[in-house]
Amino acid sequence: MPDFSTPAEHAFEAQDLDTDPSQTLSTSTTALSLSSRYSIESTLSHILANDAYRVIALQFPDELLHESVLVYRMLMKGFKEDERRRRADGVEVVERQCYVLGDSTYGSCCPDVLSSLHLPADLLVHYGHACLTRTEALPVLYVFPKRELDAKSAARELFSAITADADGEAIGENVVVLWDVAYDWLREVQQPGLVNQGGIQVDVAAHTKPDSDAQARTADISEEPEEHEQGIFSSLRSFDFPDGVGMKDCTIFYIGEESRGVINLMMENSGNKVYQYDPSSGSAVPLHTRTPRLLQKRLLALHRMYQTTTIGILVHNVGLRSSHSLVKDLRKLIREKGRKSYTISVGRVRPEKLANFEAIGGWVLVGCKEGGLIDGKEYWRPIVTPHELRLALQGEMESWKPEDWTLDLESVLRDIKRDRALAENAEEGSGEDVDDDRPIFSLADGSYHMTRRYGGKNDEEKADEETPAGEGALIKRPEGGALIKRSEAGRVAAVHLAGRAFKGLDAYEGYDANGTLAPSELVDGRVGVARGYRVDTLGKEGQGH
Amino acid sequence: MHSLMSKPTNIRNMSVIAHVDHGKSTLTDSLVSKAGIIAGAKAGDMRFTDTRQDEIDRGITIKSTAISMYFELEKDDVADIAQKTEGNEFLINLIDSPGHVDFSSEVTAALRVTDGALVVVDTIEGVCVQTETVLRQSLTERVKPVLVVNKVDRALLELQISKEDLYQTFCRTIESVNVVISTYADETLGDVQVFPEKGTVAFGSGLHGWAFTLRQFATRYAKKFGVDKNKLMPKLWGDNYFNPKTKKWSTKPTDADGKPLERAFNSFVLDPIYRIFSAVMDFKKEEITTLLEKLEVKLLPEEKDLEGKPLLKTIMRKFLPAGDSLLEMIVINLPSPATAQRYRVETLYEGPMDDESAIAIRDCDPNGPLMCYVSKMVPTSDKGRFYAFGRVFSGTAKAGPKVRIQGPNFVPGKKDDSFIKPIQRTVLMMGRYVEAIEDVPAGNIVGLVGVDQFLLKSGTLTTSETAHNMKVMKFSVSPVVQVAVECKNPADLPKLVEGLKRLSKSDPCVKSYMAETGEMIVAGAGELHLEICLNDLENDHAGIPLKKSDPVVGYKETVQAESSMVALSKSQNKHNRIYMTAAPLDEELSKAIETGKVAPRDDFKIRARLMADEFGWDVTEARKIWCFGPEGTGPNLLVDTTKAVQYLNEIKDSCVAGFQWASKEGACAEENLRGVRFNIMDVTLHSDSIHRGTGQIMPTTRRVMLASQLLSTPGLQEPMFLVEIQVPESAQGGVYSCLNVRRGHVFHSEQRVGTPMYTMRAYLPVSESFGFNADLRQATGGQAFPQSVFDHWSLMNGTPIEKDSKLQALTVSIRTRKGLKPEVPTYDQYYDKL
Ligand SMILES: Nc1nc2c(ncn2[C@@H]2O[C@H](COP(=O)(O)OP(=O)(O)OP(=O)(O)O)[C@@H](O)[C@H]2O)c(=O)[nH]1
Ligand SMILES: [Mg+2]
Repeated sequence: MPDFSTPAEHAFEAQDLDTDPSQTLSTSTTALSLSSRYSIESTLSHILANDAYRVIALQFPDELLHESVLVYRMLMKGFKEDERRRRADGVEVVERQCYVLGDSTYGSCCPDVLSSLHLPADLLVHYGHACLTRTEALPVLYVFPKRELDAKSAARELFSAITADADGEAIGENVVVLWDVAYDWLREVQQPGLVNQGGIQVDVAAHTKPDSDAQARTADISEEPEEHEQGIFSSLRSFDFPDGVGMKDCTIFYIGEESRGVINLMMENSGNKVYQYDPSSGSAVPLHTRTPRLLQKRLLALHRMYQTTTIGILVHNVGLRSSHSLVKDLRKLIREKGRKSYTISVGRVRPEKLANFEAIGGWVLVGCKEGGLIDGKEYWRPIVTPHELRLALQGEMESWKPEDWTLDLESVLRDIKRDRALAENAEEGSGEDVDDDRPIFSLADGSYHMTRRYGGKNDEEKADEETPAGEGALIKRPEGGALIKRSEAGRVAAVHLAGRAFKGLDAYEGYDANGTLAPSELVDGRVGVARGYRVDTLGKEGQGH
Repeated sequence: MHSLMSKPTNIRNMSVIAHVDHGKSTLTDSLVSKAGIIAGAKAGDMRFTDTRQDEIDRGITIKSTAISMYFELEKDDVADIAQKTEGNEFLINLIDSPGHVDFSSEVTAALRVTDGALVVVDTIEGVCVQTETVLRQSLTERVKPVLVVNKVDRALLELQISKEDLYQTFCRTIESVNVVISTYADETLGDVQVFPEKGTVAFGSGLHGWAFTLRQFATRYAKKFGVDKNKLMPKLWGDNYFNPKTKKWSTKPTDADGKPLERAFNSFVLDPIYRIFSAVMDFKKEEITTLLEKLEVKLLPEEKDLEGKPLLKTIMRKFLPAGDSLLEMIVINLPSPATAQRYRVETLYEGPMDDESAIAIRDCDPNGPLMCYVSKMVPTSDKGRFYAFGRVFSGTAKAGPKVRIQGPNFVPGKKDDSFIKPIQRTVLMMGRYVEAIEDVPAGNIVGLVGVDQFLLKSGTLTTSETAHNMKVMKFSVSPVVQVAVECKNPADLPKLVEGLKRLSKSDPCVKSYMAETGEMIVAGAGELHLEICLNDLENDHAGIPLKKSDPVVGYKETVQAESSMVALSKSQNKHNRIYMTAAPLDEELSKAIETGKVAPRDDFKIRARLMADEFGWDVTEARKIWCFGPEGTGPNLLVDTTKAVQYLNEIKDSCVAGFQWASKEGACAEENLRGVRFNIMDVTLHSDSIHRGTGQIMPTTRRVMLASQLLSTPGLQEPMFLVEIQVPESAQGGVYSCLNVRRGHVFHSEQRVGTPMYTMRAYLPVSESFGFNADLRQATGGQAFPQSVFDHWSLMNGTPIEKDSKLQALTVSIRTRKGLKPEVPTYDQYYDKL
């Protein structure tokens, strides 16, 4: 089904998610040998230390696939040597096998849990740029790209940028340094260069490589909310803040090129000053000046969402921590708010794929830290994050605050839970007179919008009124056929259908005037692949490639 | 008050309309002082209707303001009212409106809820641009006019012109007004020209608080001469001369001996006034005393010591109190709601004329179903909340029972844009005050509490199950000037959003929205309008410091020729192909679509006929218009010109969606398209429906449209202001030079008879208009008064796809502002080879 798959050209086009080829392993620091670029040594020792790792999945981003065979060979060689050694030592031999995962299901920044589970793999080794969103379906070993960095000049540039910017104001006491994963290998060496800038408390983010031995467990976020407060983000970055200091009090330094990741970082920390040092150009610039505009664009998407009754939950990744429970919760939330949802997974998201779901008025994307936000112009319908959806569904009561913007799935889950608790309390207190059907002012077009709601408290009575004008004809009940009681979802669909010019085939095709079914003769259907159907006169299409 | 409100025959709803600064607000004050709300002495000094600080500071009216007044007509005069009346007590609901063009939408909103208009014209300036505009508007709303020639005191004090000259000036003004009236007159309304001898023209000075119609003098002389005042009135105007010797009337300006006679108007009406003026201004104490006796004017003891202007004011105010004469004129000549709604119902109501709502409106029936039109929102002291200001056309508005609130997008039988909610409270609007009132029956103007949450700017309230909407108002101005705003502190963004919503509510014309780029845009009718709106936003609605961009204008993209070849785009899966061409639409047709003369909801056969008859379309093609766009209503068309294509109807929705998108964001600068016709020439589709889903067809339609646009000599249209400038001859040069540097051109210049002033009309690109007024002031030493109003879209020279052309530079600058790739796309980016 070509409509649902990624076209072949994709492999040759620039990647979505703005992957910059220079961020990948192959071109990073060519001075290094293949084996050190791919950290073969440490990978092997990590794997060999655990007898449970027998099936190992290797995930490469598309642009590194050509080196995958070399990596595979080196690892397998290591395994074989280990087997030999064990045999020689008389220890129980563990047979290990590597698999290279082909085309990744979603973006290449997240572990491809789905494919790994197909193997099923005991361990996934993820090569290349990573978004560091937590996955708990299976242990993951990250091998980051390795790039050079002149920490001294980075520090100099960054500090001069804030001084230039401070304009006499006191510079914040605390600085947090984040860097692209490609510089993580230099962490030990370079950190002092960054920290040694007198007077200012500098904290360098640690990239927690997840404890691969930990058993996969289902996250139950509500029990561990403190974790967030301590500054451990749901991504695998953590900080050790001194007492009394939080993320809010810090200036953020980011080392790396501009990417979706850093844009999201800016938006998530809109209250903070963010300075970026771009190692390729060797200069530092303030980023936070651009944040308001970025957030305003998000607000626009949110406002466009007000008018939608049918929402598509777009699962952009599976196996992310909390994504499963969030999808379930979003479905429930959408239903509670009288809208209709469909849950859809299309692999890599492209405009054409989403436009196929023409009934869907807006999308909520459940994805990782980097792939969790899509605001391409080419998309027909707005795509929002779970956090934004939550606010959009609250309508006018919404308390949209720029500083609350987040891609963090867990905090959205918590917020939804809190909203529900509040709503319940309020309901007990105030009684029925809540005007939740007020129209909403949408800045998307500067006018009021009324949202159709379905399945509400008094929906039973409304049911009949809601029947769109054109639908009367469909209610004619064929003899002997069951009268289908339209479900709430059915009504949404009926209203949608009523608005269309083409209403599809007549549902009563084949019934005669008395309502008896006169079946038509069976004929041979079509066979073959889409591009080659050759049954009817127009069947030449497809060949015109 | 309430008992009067329930007598629709004794209510008069009227607007005061005029050119800017002709004295509407001052005149209103002098009327209000009669009703006892402002002390008599203060009339003319204090503005009852200009309540906002910026109105006071700038001395202009920005928002229209309503006041209700009680008036008792002399019992004898009741007989002169040509419509049904009960008793001699009247309720007058008056709305003072702004005169500046930028606020015309306030006038529109005022006219909608009133039946009569008091047209004010400055004696010296005469009929100006805006006089004509508002008069035209009132006539299209079927609002009947009466005229006040104002600022007569200036003619006497400053110009010191002779009686006959003054008479001639009056004649000219009245004639100009009547020319406008007969040009735009509505047959149903009958002849509504104004004539002094019929009592529909008053003369006076709002500032001094006096005014008269010929009735006053006729009454006075009728008593004296013992003749019928209705016979006398016509004699006091026109070529009627009274020979004091023979005591005979004549229509010739000379007597039998060839000696000149004085015109009756001059001798009977102007003479006493001239005498008072000269006596007072020349400090002739004795003459004053005799005059006062003769005119039966009594001064209070403390007034006896006054001198000069204050004395003049006092005497004139007692001699010819403005309140009495004007209110009398209004009550006698303007229609009551009971009278007016009979003929207005057709233009007010969208539904059939025989349904219960139409009948109740026609009869102004307080016991019928409620039909109330909300024409604008008035801020309350409670921030963010508004009174819905409107008129009850039938039924009775009261707090409590639920009513249906129908927004402008409501369609009968559907649920969109309608709410069933109770009115919380009803109030009377009294300038800066409101007064709570229990209920408001048909024919009255009302403020409603609680409705603002369901209507953005305007809408219909009803208790009828079957009611259609009352017609949406058509504004004469459009929001063509835009400014992007940003808050200084990003954390204030939520406040800005709320502020934009409030701003949008508080003004009938302003638009606030977010551009695709995330910029917050405020769009208004002109520079002044925007300035006022932004001030309100900053200081009131949002209450936060703002950064404002320079004003910019929106452009329209169009095409200037037929496509040079048929454009082709393939769907992403390559299984579907759409062939299309583009061609320009007639400018007339584009306009007809914009004004709603040709509309998407019309019956397609009738529409096709109309398009064939008036715009030279082929009837069969006109029947195959798939849709209008953008937003389903715009002046671009998608036409199916294919021959027997299989499955075509199945992809129609996808094509329409793609068309809406592409017509909203054109290929050159992502501006709206205007005046483009797209022809679907041919389509080949995959036979399996799964391969021709929306995802394949919609983007393809969009691409092929963009390609065909680029293949048809794309062009840009820019908004043009019509500028009317009043200027003395000597300063005309300054006007020309000022316009020339701004690509403006004068197309009409005419001296106003009897004045040294010229009226010049020019077209000026809106994009060049920023700072124009200030420049003009400088270039003419402050002697030119311009008024600019959006007039039309004008095609700009050249095409954006021509390398290094001016238009390309402009297009690139728009693209850059929008954060797009600067290069203008070429057609092959959307065109697929076979
Ligand atoms: N001499 C003289 N001046 C007048 C008279 N009426 C008004 N004015 C002056 O004309 C100026 C404008 O009067 P307004 O009443 O504000 O005019 P307006 O028509 O309400 O103006 P906008 O509402 O801004 O269109 C003020 O300075 C008044 O004092 C009058 O009868 N005689
Ligand atoms: Mg005024």
